[in-house]
Amino acid sequence: MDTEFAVVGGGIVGLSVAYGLLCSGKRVTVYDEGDTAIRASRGNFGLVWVQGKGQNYPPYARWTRRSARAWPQFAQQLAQESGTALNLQQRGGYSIHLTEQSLADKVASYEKLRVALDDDYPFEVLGHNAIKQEEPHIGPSVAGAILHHEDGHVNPLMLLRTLAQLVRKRGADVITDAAVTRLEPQASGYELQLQNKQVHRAEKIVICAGLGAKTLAPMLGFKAPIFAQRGQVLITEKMPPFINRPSGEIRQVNEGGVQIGASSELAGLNDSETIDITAQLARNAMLMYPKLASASLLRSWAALRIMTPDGYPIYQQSTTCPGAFYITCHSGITLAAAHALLLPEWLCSRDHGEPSLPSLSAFSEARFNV
Amino acid sequence: MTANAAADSSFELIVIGAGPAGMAAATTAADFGCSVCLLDEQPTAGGQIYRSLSRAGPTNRVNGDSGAWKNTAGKQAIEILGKAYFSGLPLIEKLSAANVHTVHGACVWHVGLNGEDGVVTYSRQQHASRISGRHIIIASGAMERPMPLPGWTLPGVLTAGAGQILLKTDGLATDNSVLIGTGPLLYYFATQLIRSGCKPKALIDTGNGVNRTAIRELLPVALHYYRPLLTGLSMLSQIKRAGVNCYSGASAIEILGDSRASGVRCHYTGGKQINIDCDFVFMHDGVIPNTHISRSLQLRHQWNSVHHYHEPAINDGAVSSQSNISIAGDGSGIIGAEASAQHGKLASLTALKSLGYDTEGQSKNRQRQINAVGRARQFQRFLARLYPPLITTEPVADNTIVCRCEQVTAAEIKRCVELGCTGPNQTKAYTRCGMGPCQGRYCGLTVANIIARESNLPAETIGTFRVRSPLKPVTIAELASLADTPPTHTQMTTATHTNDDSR
Amino acid sequence: MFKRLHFANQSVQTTEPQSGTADDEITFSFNQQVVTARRGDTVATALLLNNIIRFGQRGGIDKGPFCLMGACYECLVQVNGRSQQACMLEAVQDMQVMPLILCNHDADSPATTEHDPDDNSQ
Ligand SMILES: Cc1cc2nc3c(=O)[nH]c(=O)nc-3n(C[C@H](O)[C@H](O)[C@H](O)COP(=O)(O)OP(=O)(O)OC[C@H]3O[C@@H](n4cnc5c(N)ncnc54)[C@H](O)[C@@H]3O)c2cc1C
Ligand SMILES: Cc1cc2nc3c(=O)[nH]c(=O)nc-3n(C[C@H](O)[C@H](O)[C@H](O)COP(=O)(O)OP(=O)(O)OC[C@H]3O[C@@H](n4cnc5c(N)ncnc54)[C@H](O)[C@@H]3O)c2cc1C
Ligand code: FES
Repeated sequence: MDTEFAVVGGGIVGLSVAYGLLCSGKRVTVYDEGDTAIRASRGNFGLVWVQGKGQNYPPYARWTRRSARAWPQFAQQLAQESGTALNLQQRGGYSIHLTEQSLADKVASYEKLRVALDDDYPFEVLGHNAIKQEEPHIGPSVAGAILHHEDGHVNPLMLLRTLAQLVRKRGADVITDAAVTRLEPQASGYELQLQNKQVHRAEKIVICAGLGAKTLAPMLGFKAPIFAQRGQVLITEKMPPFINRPSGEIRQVNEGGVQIGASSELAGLNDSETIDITAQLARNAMLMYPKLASASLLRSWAALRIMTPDGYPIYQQSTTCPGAFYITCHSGITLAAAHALLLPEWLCSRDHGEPSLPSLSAFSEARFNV
Repeated sequence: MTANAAADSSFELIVIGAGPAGMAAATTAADFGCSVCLLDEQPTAGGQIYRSLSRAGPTNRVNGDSGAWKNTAGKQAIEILGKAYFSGLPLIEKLSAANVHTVHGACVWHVGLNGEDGVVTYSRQQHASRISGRHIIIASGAMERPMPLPGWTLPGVLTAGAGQILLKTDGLATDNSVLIGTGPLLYYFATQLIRSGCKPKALIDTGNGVNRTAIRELLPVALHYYRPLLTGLSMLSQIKRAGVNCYSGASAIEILGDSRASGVRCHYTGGKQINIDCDFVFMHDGVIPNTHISRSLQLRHQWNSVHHYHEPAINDGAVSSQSNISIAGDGSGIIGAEASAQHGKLASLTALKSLGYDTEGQSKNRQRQINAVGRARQFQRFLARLYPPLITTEPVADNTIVCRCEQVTAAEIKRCVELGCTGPNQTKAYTRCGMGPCQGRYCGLTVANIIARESNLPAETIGTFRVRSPLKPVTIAELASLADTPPTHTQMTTATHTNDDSR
Repeated sequence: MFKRLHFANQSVQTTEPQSGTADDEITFSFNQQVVTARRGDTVATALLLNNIIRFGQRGGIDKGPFCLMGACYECLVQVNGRSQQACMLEAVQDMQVMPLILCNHDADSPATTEHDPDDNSQ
């Protein structure tokens, strides 16, 4: 065997999982594609976000919050090992609303969730004056906001880089520019064929290949019912700090730029930005923070989310190929802490039946059986 | 990239850039009665070489003869700037007489496709507009090659092109300067400074003299290019005769200073070291095509290993990998001003033909233009061999800033190679290099070079930054002004990704 | 230091039939300092003529103009509350130009709460 765990995919999910396995003393090899690969981890919004997650599915709300709570420890550990700060800030975040109606609707759905979560869901509703108190630069057309105290944000590119660095430091082989083209179960373990025709062997396989899993995962008996959802994002020039807390739409990043996002569109694998959508994002941003009108827009981009039909993650061990796992989610930043700190227990367990972490059973592929 | 939304007005042909290539393309099309729009971000036509020339308006000239000027100021201008500068006047005058919808001060920041049409978005005086065209000619010219040296970010360090712009546009020159680099433009600028009475203190030449491969490139076109060759030779002797200290074969160059440039230190032929005080540094290491627009469209590009730059792939008629988009002039790979004008004309004729115009009568000229552009490319290959960019002969020192905008050093780029980066895009994500307002224009080539060197990969495998809109920064309000539907709540919710249950 | 050459002090290079006299002179301010220029000059040209070569500071590094052709963005200054390229901006009488100073800060520094002149709400 070349390695104990072959992690296919070097985005945030693959690297978080690899880092967790290495911390548990496992031998790991990470396989990743090259410079121009489709990689959501390079184009996301950087929120460590709780509110709204699992509005209609409390297990997802619980899993998300578990990760958000694990984030401070995770960030500290990464910073200590790497010497780089990730600029994690978890002082709450908003959902900003331009009409009373949309605010009221959202509040109603959060209240329902609060009941499902045994009254433990710390959000408060801010009217215009209250949000203005918190955010002096908020625009006059903002009706109000929901402040959820568990929300926050992080520098997602620093996270990606730090994980790439630490996974190597902890002894993983990381092979880049090495797309895996075929996965095959052997009498014991698995064979991976790479694009350059090399064949590697591993005892266990964890598929974290983002949209690439669509073709890879079925080779080991997974359904992988995923599709791409395009999100467009804007970033301004650096500005002196004027936004205190992030919202689902706008955040000021630690370097000073203001990030504005993100749309949700179906466009296949087209990851180009478009004027019509970016113009709408710009206009909405100006309504929320009028000061942004005169800010220079440095760049817009689009990235592709990895979506499941219901929007929740998949954590699945293959029913036909034991020792092969499939992991995907559309909030890989938020869930990075859980992936690194909690998943190894599941991945390393000898038990081939129910997941060892009770919370994971809610995220099996069985839910897509018709 | 798609544009999707309706345009403000439409044309048969849109030309981006009003340098020699763009002016020739636009006027050629107008001659055929084609509706053409010409956009340029400068306040006047002329491009880099004939910049601001039209401001020396016809009132100052006698009988339209660019050699004869009414006043002594005009004579002095010719003497300092050189006759070649004024040879652009006929093109500029032809343009102002032609039926071309010319928009000056128009910065193009997005080019997209909408079905069969190209859609160009630009801003003028902070107002954004969109126009559509059945065919687009990109004639966005060249820029100077980044020349990363320790201290090159200090105030007081300018490119030689910048020095020339000050001279052409406003008649400014400075004493007490040092010129660093190589290539005809640097020498030309040195002679202009000398004629201005602002003799540079020194010329630090990174070139190594004539080599055999260069001569081989030259032979087939030597006859056509004897004049520029002679001018080139005479420039160097002028510089020396004027008493400028010339140090050739320079290496380990450092620009010194705390909060502004105050001197230059380097080694030169024979291993000697020199330290020169100065107030200003002008650097130049050749020019490279400005490929931001063509790259943003994800047109096919290729690595040119003689010139060490990426250039768009085009056919004989200047058509890119996208049939309704052509690329003319230096933006297609460096060919020089004269050939750029011919290339613009050629591109225009090819486009006119595909737009249904009868261009049969021009077929003889067409072959002549193709040949001329071919010779120009060969001559430029000769120059490229003669004046190889510094980055190909000397690695960038670790502590040198590579990305000026985000202050990323060469050492940080190298570290990315250790972290598995095989190209500029992941490197950008890890270091922020290329994320600043210049959009990677002044670091892209250096980053690719460092990655190639560090990973022992051939340069052509490295690739380029993915170029995204806006091609040049615009305000949020300018972008927002293009939103064509009123804001509604549904848009607000689709605009958040946090609402995972909403679908 | 940069100076204007004799030929440019005469009318060769102006569009309008003005002569290079006092009518042509304008003044504006940079960082509260008075700067003289000639109509038609870019802000960058005018500052260089007035021996100002530091246009701002980013991440603790002094910035001055570099390419003067609108490509490098090293010449950014602040005019009317927004950042603009000094080399692409024509100087006009009484314009108030400020250096663009940006420091790297991290997310933990709180946002300013002082009154923002652009914000007319409330
Ligand atoms: C616009 C946008 C905004 C977002 N905002 C947030 C947010 O604020 N907070 C949050 O938590 N999440 C956010 N997300 C989601 C988050 O970015 C993703 O959940 C996360 O990046 C997914 O990581 P990944 O590793 O699964 O996928 P990716 O980053 O796509 O990585 C997949 C990796 O697998 C590799 N790969 C694919 N196929 C193969 C193969 N055959 N062989 C080898 N390697 C292969 C690819 O090269 C790639 O590196 C956002 C996403 C988008 C698009
Ligand atoms: C700084 C500099 C100085 C030079 N000096 C000399 C010289 O002295 N002698 C010499 O022989 N050659 C010189 N050259 C080379 C010479 O400029 C070219 O050979 C020639 O000008 C090429 O013509 P062109 O039409 O292809 O492009 P250019 O003349 O460069 O014209 C391109 C035009 O496109 C415009 N443009 C680019 N992007 C955009 C956009 N996004 N939106 C709107 N407009 C845009 C520019 O404003 C420019 O006017 C110089 C080059 C540079 C870069
Ligand atoms: S000096 Fe380069 S953009 Fe102004």
